[in-house]
Amino acid sequence: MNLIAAFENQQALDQVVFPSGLLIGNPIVGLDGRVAIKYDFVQIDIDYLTNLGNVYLGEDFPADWQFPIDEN
Amino acid sequence: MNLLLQKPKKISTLGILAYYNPVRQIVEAQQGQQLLDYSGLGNHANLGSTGDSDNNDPTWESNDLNYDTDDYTSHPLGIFNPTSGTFEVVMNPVSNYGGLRVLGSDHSAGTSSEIRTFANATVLFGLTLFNGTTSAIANASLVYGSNLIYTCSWHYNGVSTIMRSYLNGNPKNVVNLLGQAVAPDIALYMGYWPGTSYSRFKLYRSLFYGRQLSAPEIWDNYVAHKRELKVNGVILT
Repeated sequence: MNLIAAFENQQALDQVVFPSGLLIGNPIVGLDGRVAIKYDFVQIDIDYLTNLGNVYLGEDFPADWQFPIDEN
Repeated sequence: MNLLLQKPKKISTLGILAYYNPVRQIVEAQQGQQLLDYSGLGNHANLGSTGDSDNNDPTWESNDLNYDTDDYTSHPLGIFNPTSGTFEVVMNPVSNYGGLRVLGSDHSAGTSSEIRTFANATVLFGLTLFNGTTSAIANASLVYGSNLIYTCSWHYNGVSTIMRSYLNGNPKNVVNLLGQAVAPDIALYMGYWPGTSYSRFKLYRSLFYGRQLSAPEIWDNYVAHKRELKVNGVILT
């Protein structure tokens, strides 16, 4: 299942090392500095994220998530 | 009796620089970390931000390559810097998410640029979009946040550029846009605007040409794609 994992900030994401070996590329950056990635995580990675704490995991972005305003 | 027999429309390959065909790649079980270029020129694109599996990888599906929330492909430098060229993209119409950021380039200058050309370029942009409506133009716009494609920001190193956009094979407008001279790209992307933004779409076909396609050629490509979609079980509404 494709899930969105949202972290408090880039530093929090930088600490993540997925057991499956999944590499972390460019995240989506929210207006408040939170970062998120979306992927079809395998179960061991879901378990890992769940156990990390302070990580949002869901099918959609957090309810209060805001995207930055684009410069266009 | 006057019979008018029309030859089946074919997708033009004259002057092609890259020919991305996810369906063929799927049928031939060639899915992997590359979006293969079937033009024979070897302009394969890389899935995601690394050579291995990462969160930026688009997903292979039965009929398309799915560029979800944070997915993109990066394309070889120089694949689209001819003095004139055409870019076409065909989305899987059964899975239209909405936003389509086709190509991203340098965002560091705080300006928008989706397709970059160099040196007084004149570019014919042929966007082939199925089931298109006025709102779909916006959905397929090359600019994030714009409502109409002709508001697209256009960057180039030179004088005015002519951009033509097409919807379902028909020309929609011709505009002259003055852009800003910016440094050459370090990369080209589909689905990603470096720095901040992504787009969501399902890629059925994408073609890069090193020449301007004429309006009839754009139309022929549209008809050919439409026929192929039907053959592949995608029925247009």
